[in-house]
Amino acid sequence: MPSRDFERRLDMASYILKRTLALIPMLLILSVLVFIIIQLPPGDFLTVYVQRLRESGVLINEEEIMRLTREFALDKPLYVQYFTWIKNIILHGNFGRSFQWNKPVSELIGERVAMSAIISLFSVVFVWIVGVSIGIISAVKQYSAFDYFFTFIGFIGVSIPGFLLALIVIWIAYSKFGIYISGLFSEAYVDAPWSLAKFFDMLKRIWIPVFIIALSGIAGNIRIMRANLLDELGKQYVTVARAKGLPERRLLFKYPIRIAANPMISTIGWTLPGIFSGEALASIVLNLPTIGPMLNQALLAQDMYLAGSLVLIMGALTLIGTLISDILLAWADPRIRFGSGGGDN
Amino acid sequence: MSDNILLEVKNLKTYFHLDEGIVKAVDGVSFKIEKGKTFGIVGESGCGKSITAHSIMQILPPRGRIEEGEIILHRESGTVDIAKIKPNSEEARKIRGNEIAMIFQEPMTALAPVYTVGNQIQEAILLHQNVKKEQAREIAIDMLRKVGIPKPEERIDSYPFEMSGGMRQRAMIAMAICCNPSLLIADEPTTALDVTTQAQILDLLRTLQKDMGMATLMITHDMGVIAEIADDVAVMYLGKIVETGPVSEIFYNPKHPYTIALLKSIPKVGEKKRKRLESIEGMVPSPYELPTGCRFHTRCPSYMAGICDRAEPSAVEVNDGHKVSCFLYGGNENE
Repeated sequence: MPSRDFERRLDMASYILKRTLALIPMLLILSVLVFIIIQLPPGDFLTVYVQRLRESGVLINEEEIMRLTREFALDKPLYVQYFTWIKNIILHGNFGRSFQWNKPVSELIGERVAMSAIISLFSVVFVWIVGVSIGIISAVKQYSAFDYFFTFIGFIGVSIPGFLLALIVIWIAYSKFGIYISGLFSEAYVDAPWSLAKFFDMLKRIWIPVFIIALSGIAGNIRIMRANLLDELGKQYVTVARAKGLPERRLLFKYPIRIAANPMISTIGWTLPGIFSGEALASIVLNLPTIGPMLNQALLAQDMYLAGSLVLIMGALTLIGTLISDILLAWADPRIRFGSGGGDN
Repeated sequence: MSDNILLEVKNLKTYFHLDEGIVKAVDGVSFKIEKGKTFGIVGESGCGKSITAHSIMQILPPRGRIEEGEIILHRESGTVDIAKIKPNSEEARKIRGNEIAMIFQEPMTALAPVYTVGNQIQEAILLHQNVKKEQAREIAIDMLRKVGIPKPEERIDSYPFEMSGGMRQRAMIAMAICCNPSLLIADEPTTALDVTTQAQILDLLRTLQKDMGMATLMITHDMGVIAEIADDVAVMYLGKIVETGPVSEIFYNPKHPYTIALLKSIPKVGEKKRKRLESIEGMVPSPYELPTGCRFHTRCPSYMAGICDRAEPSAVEVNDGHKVSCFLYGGNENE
């Protein structure tokens, strides 16, 4: 006889498996969409490439063109091109070529994707820790000075777009303190290879962009956490727990906070796209070496393999983020894990 | 006589300080609960019966405060005035859930959805008894068996959403009795359940009370529940007890016009003629503007102008243990 505990573990495992398998069709759809985007501008990238070279008067190497045509199956029908493109990405990590930079895309984006990931990760963690803790205090001390202050900050944070805030911060830092906040590294390290010193240099400067990117998320999380927790605090199970003789702080964390956090876990997934786009705008203003500005330039220049690859990577990361938040939610909330919904009767 | 008293509430006043004004939810309530007996408080919604219970438990909402009065708990080792203890102090927490436990109205929301019922019962045991986790689990299973949950070894790992309303209320009762309380407060324990389940839960409460020798404070708006389970009754109206006495006195010899009206408004099975159910005239007055004098005078069929709206009647003993606060029976020593 398998125990109830074992059954539940099995349930959880099958839930994770199902969710992970569902990721595959979604990634396929994403790749098709990205491929369509790449194909949207008139002419394939090679024609554009050749035309650019010709315009700048460079001699065209016929052999090189033949090689590229073969590599991307440009002389074959569209679906073959699609599969060749996917095959190159999966098997060789070859995302195509950026004609703007005349380099393979994979070479261009590696470091920038990492930078974006770091900044986004920092922002998400920051949004969560700061937003949720302020939300909790605001709800527990409802209508206190603290609550009013952060409600005010919250409204401002939700309403001011990140890039505007970035501009204001740059202006204040420059006009009042004479500091020019730009980039992620001080001058000494911009072109230096990675080292521990460079990493610490980055840690020193990353807070301003992280704060700017995170502010609207923090504000949103304060509002959501405060509202959720106020709802939960009024529920009967809180009174019941109090009637048991549970100390107040332990009670808060075990019951209402735990339950109020559940809906927030499910939103991690869709805060990612918001963070990405906020990061792109703030990065353009703050001149950060992330994928945001690069995507912006690539789109303007119709550098479609580069733009497509960036969209593909961000899309895939968002899907994976959503998967992680789904699994976290199932782990946190048994009602999700075992299916039956509310189950009231 | 006084050896039998478990809990004594004397002139309890619990007020809510709201932006709109002060709500005197409980305004000078006194009663005694005897060991092993069931005391019922009956009244309409908003009469202060639940707030009386919450005051005893010291689990009032943030704006509610005990202003005056005593809540004296008699123990073998002496007495303690609960009203004097800070609600969040360790002393108060040692009484709550241990010596005095409570079950609530809504079994659907009274258990937190993200923990198993076993977890929530064991929590109470571990809080008040010096036992290990495995022992707590054994006790919890025992308790679930005691309240009539089938296959308690399995059900202990169920989540609340996997149980029906009746089962959840049973689990709640198991949670409340797991530390052998001397007083169980039941705040409308059957209101949210269907009629057959109601009867089962009342039966269960009665059996448990006999087995464990605990006293029960039954809070309800349902005269039927009182008739079935209570030994003594207090009828509350707008924060005051208007009539109190043994259950037979209240049902067969009611004195206060409010009690009489309440009893008349119960539908009776087997009545010959089809006639309209009697009801009490008017509405419960706003808690911000309580009537002067006797609070019931605005709705009272025996209202005496110039007397009832002038002064508050005091309690008069009309029979052994049967007290009523109404000018029809005297009670004008306040004049």
